[in-house]
Amino acid sequence: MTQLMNKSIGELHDLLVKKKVTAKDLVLACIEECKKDTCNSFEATAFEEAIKASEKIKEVKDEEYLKGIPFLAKDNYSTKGIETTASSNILNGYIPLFDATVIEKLKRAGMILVGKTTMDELAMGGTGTSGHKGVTTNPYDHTRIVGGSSCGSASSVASGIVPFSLGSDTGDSVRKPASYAGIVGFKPTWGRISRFGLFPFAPSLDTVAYFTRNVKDASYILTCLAGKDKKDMSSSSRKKEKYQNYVLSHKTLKRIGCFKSVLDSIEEKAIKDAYLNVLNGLANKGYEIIYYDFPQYLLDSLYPTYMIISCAEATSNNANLDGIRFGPKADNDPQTYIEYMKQCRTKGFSSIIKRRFVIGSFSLLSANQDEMFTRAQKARRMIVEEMERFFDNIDYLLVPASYSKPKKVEDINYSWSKKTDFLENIMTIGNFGGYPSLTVPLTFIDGLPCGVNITGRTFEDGYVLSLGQEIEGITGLKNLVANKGE
Amino acid sequence: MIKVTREIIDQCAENLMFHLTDDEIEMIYDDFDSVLVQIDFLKSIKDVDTYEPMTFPYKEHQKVMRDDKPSKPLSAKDALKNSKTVLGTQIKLPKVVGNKNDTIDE
Amino acid sequence: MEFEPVIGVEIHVELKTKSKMFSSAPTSFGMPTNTMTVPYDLAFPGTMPIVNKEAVAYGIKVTKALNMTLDKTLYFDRKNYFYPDLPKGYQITQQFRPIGKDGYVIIIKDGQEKKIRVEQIHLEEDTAKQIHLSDISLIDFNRVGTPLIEIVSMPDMTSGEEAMKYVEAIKEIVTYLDVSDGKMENGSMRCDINISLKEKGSSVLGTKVECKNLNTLMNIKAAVDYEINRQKEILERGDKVEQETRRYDEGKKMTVLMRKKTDAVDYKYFREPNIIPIDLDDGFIYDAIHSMNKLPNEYRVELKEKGLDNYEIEELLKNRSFVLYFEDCLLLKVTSAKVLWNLLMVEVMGYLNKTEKNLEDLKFPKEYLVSLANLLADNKINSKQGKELLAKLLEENANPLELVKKLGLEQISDPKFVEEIVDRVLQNNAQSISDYKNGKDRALGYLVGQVMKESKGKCNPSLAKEMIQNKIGPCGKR
Repeated sequence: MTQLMNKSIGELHDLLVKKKVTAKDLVLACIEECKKDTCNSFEATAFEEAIKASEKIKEVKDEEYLKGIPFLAKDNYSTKGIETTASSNILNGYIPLFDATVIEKLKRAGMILVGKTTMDELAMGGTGTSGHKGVTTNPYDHTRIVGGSSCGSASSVASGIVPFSLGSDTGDSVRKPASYAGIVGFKPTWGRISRFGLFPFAPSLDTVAYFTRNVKDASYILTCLAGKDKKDMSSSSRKKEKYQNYVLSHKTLKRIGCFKSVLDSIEEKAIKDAYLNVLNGLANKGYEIIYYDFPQYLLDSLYPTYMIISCAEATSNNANLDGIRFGPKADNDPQTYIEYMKQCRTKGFSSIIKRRFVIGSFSLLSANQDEMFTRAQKARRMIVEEMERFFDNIDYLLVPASYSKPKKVEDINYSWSKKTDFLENIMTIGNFGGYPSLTVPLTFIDGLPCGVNITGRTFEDGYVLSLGQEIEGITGLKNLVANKGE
Repeated sequence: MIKVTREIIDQCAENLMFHLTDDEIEMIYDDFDSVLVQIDFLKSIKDVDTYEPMTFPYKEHQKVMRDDKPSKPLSAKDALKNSKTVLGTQIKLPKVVGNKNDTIDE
Repeated sequence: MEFEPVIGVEIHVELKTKSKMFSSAPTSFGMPTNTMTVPYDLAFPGTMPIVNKEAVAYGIKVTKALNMTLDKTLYFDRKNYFYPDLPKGYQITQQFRPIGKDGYVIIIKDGQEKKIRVEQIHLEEDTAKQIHLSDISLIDFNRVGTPLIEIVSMPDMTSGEEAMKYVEAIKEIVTYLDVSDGKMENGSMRCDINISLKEKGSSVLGTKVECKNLNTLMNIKAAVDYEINRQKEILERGDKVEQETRRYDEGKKMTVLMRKKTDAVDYKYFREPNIIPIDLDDGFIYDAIHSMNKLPNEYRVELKEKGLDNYEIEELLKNRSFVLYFEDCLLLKVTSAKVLWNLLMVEVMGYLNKTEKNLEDLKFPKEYLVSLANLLADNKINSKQGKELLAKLLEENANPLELVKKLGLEQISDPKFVEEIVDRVLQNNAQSISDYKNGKDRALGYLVGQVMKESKGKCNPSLAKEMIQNKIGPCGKR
């Protein structure tokens, strides 16, 4: 039973159906792996509850794809009775009274929550180094980052602890770490999955997203999670589908777009070669490859647009963190309510969070709003309108998901960039337009993974998954697990 | 736009209910250089101001609202369970006097 | 120099929905502290606002009642500020796209109609309640999230009386629509009034002072008039009015300083990203408008047509349940609305007040009250008999028509019958007739009394009186 947790959901499901293992075997194996974690992936564990839940599962039927499978959730999902901090000191000790809708749905499908994973503080960041528990590392190389903000969820799937974990994606917080970790990261269409119980960072961009080790598993998860939720008005009432059908019977669209300026700007040869190889492979399979001239100024506007909108929304969304109704209290004998709040918030947030809030707040001031927040919202519309033109004739956007090896931890720099770094920010397009966007493994550079990203039209999640599966076939890269202990 | 100064940064932070150390103010002040470069870039985009600001990722509107049916509320015990500053069945704070006003129930 | 007051009013009206504006927690008044919340109300992370349909329907009704333009797509915005009574750190309101705009209400001043323009109304959520003790404050979150409509007037008022009448008109409208209980004393309707003075004829506005804590209509009038005078004195001294917030001190009968407005708070408004714009369905709007209760001004016209005078109408309008009762009665063939009014608003109301009962406690059908009113109006019974029947009606729910028959109380207005008795009485009371002719007007009453006695109280006394006067001529001079 060693290496049980290296298997995918599909493989484990087969074992359960054939009664070769029990749900409890899986949970116990998973707990063992959790204990051996070398990446700093955990905020909290729920071992006892998980064992209890597994003991209730006597039988798994063929159609119960997710039943009995252990999973982890990023620590920004509300989990009833389990401390949830979003890796921020301001939420230390907070024990939610309710489960997020997605947690509830997964539990109802028979999945078993084993623990909560580390993240960049309050999901703000892309490195996986800024949470209150410190740096989460890449299982392929512990001197490097795995990326963020969903760092613990990425590292745990990549290192064979669970076959699936929940993350969240506001800029590329699942799709980038998936690339660095050699796994599948999927951000479905905004509104396709309820956000109730997901701690908000920037609601107009936030999406429930997750990691698996192959595309088929990802398609089953979406079928479970999709749908209108009365607790989230922004969840879409469009009919949900059986997304696995797109993968199982390979329903796909044929026109793939690639941005010329992206192709021209890739510096890492291994990535460029692998990317061209995939395009080639797709062309051979009868896909039409279209080179699209996406205006450079719009690509250059991705970073400022994203930073301003996300910081501005974040400063408001986190105004509830004041130590009054939850979170650690003020301990230096505050004399006024203002002092009370200031003590809590001063000790509760790290410096880089405070910086985001100050910049976000500055951009919302009535004297600045037109020049900053509102203008970023206008730029967002320009970007999305250009993407709509792109999608008039093209079904998918295909780009590399990362453009270099994951950074060394010591090279992390938190200051704002003066450059526009459009390659690094290319996947924010998926959040601006709410598009379904999927990262699958592309190649390895010096033993470190790098992914490729597919973005499709809103609510065409199934087609995006099916192209992902096609690429899995071309690269031969799926069900990857980092070799532990080396 | 308001000119970025250390004082403005400090004032923003105080309005957001936290203090900044001198080092933090310095860090943010330095970063504003980059922020302003980025702002100028957005400003330079041709015709950007002719576009409607975009809040929601796509154009769909909704029609369904919640029926006015009350659900079972939390007990006071549950409601206050996570608070570290409770007195009886209420939350306790230092007397609320300060910048907003000193009246009851605004 | 002459000054003109410029007065604008902002009113927050708490709606009477069963659940809160953006959460399903029940709304209530006077429940044990912190027992009326769901996680959203306490701003637990990950909770989201869900718009209450009924509150929106109420918003549509108020929009219509205030003659406003309805925005058929709903948008919400955030108003950001930190305060212990505001768990999320922002309030969801409608800063940029109010549900209604550009309306008006009519007030009557010195018998003249005056139009007060209403700039906009927004749907929003209430804050929590704080209790301030000597050294600590306690927070009760029961009220947080209760739906509010904020009604913002244009600065069209020029006196305390106008401000008061405006608030009174709004109060009447929201209570008649039954969207709020409109109780200022409970805080379910709260007013902030902005007052400034400008030079007469000038278009340059003076410095605004905001007045709060105005929890009765009389206080509004008193506070505004006080404030106008205070500002006038300052300006006449050549000083400047300071921008500040003041509250009305009822004991001292004056406005007192609460705080100076140094920097206005920057609320950093922006669109609420968790509520996708809501297109209001035409059917939904239609239903909201067509289920609106009749408004006071509609009643004023109708009741006037029924013959009530202004005083009677205004008394009746003070309490909507009496208007509804009266309106129901009017559907039952009423001979005289005035007589009915008198029965309901004097006799019945007196009884209810004395016994501390409500209109709803009356168990008899409205037909009985109308029958009684008609018996009186048709002079079939006299007022003394009316009182007796009413007492039986109120105490025992007895049908007046049956009682009249049973007790033989019916007045006789048949002129032949009455004349017969009158003639008999006049024949037997020559002395009284001559007294009357000699100027003793009291003798007339005596004669009528004799007629009543002869007829065992059944004769219509006014008819008898009229006949006697016709027969014996005018009263003589002493």
